[in-house]
Parts: sequence; structure tokens; C-alpha cells
Amino acid sequence: MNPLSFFLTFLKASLFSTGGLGNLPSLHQDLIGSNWATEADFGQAIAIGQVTPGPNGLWVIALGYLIYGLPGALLALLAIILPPLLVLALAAVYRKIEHRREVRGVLRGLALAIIGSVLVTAWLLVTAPGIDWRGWILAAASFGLTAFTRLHVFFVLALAGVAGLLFF
Amino acid sequence: MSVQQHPALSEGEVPAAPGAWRLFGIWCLIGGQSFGGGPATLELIRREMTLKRGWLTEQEYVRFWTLCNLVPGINLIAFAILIGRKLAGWAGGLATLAGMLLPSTTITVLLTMGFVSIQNWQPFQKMLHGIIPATAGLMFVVLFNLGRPLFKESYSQGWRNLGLSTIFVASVAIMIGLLKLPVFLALVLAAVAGPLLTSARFSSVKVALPPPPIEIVASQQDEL
Repeated sequence: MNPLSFFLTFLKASLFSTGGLGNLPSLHQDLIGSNWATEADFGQAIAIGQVTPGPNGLWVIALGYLIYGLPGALLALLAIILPPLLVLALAAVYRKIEHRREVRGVLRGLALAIIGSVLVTAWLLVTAPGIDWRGWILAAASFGLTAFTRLHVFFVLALAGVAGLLFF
Repeated sequence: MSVQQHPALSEGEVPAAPGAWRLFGIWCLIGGQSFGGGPATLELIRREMTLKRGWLTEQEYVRFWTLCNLVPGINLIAFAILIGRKLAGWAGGLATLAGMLLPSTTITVLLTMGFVSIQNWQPFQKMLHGIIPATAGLMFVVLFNLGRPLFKESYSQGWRNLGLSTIFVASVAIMIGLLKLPVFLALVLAAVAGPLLTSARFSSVKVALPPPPIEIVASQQDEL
């Protein structure tokens, strides 16, 4: 694997997204498409990201480690640090553009697009090979428990692990 | 929103600015103890920087956070840099960034290493079989939380705007899922078409909206 194209793949995903999981669809498309990562790598990395402290989005570091070891983790870290640095440039010009309609429109368009792209990724994850009706029940249960109860995500995933022991 | 005065200070007094090493130490604690992702970390930062030490006013906190929502990538990284730079210059920005990421990244890598070392163990395989679909379920929660404030805003601007928003989401899903276009291309197209959403043609609200209060800004970040 070429470290530079590995890094650029991660950087591109982060540069054209917002939030901790916004880079997931682009990484998923590129890394699965080039056979660098498997669906399982993604599921595992996201699960690890849920139980680590700090901001959302550190799951990318777990993904980097899973597919390319320690160098992968470091390159992934660098790729998520660089794009937010743009805030320094923005802080300099923002006061001039903050009230323009078009600026708010661009941001809303982007936010809606991220929903569309995460939707596709979530769909690909639940329809991945190896996931049958038992998996769909677990996906639905984890959605329900996370969305409608105050149960911590960590416990939801732990319950899913116990369910895995019992059902598979 | 009223200015939160640091309790230990009298009116008008400004607390002494911290050095970069002190900031590094405090942000190590913030980054290392905030389980629960974005919202938990955000609240911890507010308590440490604004309420407890009075280094940042509520207005600065809100203004910085708004800016951070406009840049790509992880907003909290941008937030840490802005706060650190304000308090102790470039060294401060570096200190807050390193503080927030060093412990949390180290823990992430150690967890992943542990994970790799037991991944061929049969019972762990079975557990994973349950955990992976559960992460997909979580992703639908993320979608729900990301979508709710956006569609609420759309709805407040009339059904045409709501319809247009739905078209945005659907066409991006079609571009990526069915046409297999690169994800970044679909995002750029949506950003370019974005001003339609706030144009007079699709919005019944004629005046510019005031910036949202911090609770709404925070809930948009509430991914999980």
C-alpha cells in the first residue's frame, strides 16, 4: 500500500465533510472499492470509536491502525488535524460574510448532502454479506435503545456483543 | 444571553492568561475524560474555560463554536485551536490541540491493538457478529440527529423548502448509492446548489435569521 495515497484518501474524506462521521461515506467508498479495507474493518473501527474518550471522529485512527498498523494510525491522525485548521483563515474573514444568504445556503446544502451520503453507507452496512435477519434485528434494537432511551452507547454495544455470543 | 462572570473575580477584572503548558495539562484532562463524544466534550470545555476559570466569555464561546461549524472535519479540533490561540498565542493553540488529542488518540490506538490481538478468538468473533450490525443501527441514530434540526428549519420556511431539502438528500443518495459517483463530488454539487435553499424562491422567510442559540448549535453536533 502506498502511504501517500493512503494519506490523501483520508485527507480528501475529511476535507469534504463535517463532523466525526461525515468522512465515513467517502472512506467507505474508496477503501472498499480498492480492497484496502473490509466491511468488518469499518464496523470494528466505528465500535472502537464509540468507546474511546475525546471528540467523535477518532474512529478513523482505529481504522488507520486496522488496515495499515501504527503508520496508518499516525497518517489518519494527521489527516483529521489538517482540515479544521482552515478555521484560522475563516476567523479572519468571517465577520464580512456571515450574514449572506448564499453562505448559509451552501452550508445547508452540504449538511443535507452529508445526510444523503451517510444514509447510503448505513444501508451498505446493514446489507453487507454475512448480515442476515438476526443482524437486522440487532441493528433495529440498537437504533431503538440509543434513540429512545438514555442508555449509554457503550452499554448498547456491550449488549449487542452478548447477543452475538448467544445467537451466532 | 448574559455574560457569565467568573465567580472569583470582581466586576471588570480580567483573569490572568494561562501559559501553554498549563493549557496542555488542562486539555489533556478534557480530552481524556470526555466519554460520549462531541456534546460531552463541548460541555466540559464550557465548564473549564468559561465557568470555572473565566478565560472565555459566553459570547466568545458561542462565536468560536459557530465558526467551527463552518469548517470541514472535526469541529472540536478547530474549537481547541481557536481557544488555545486566543489564550496563549500559537503555542497555546498547539498546546490545546495536543492536549485534547494525545491521551484520547493513545487510548484509541491501545484499544485497537488489544482488539487486533484477540480478534481470532472464537467467542470474540461471535460478539463482533452482534456488534457490527449494532453500529449500523447507531448510524441511523446519527442520521436522525443530524437531520432533525435541518428539516425543522426547512419546515419553518414552508413546504417548498421542505420538498427541496428532501430532494437534496435523495439526489445525493442516488448519486452515491446508484450512480456510484465519488462522494466528494456529490457533496460539492450539493454545496454549489445550496444557495437555492435560502433563495427567496424557496424560502418564505424574508428576513435573515439571527444566529441560532448555543443549545441548537450544540444539538446539531449531537451525533450520538
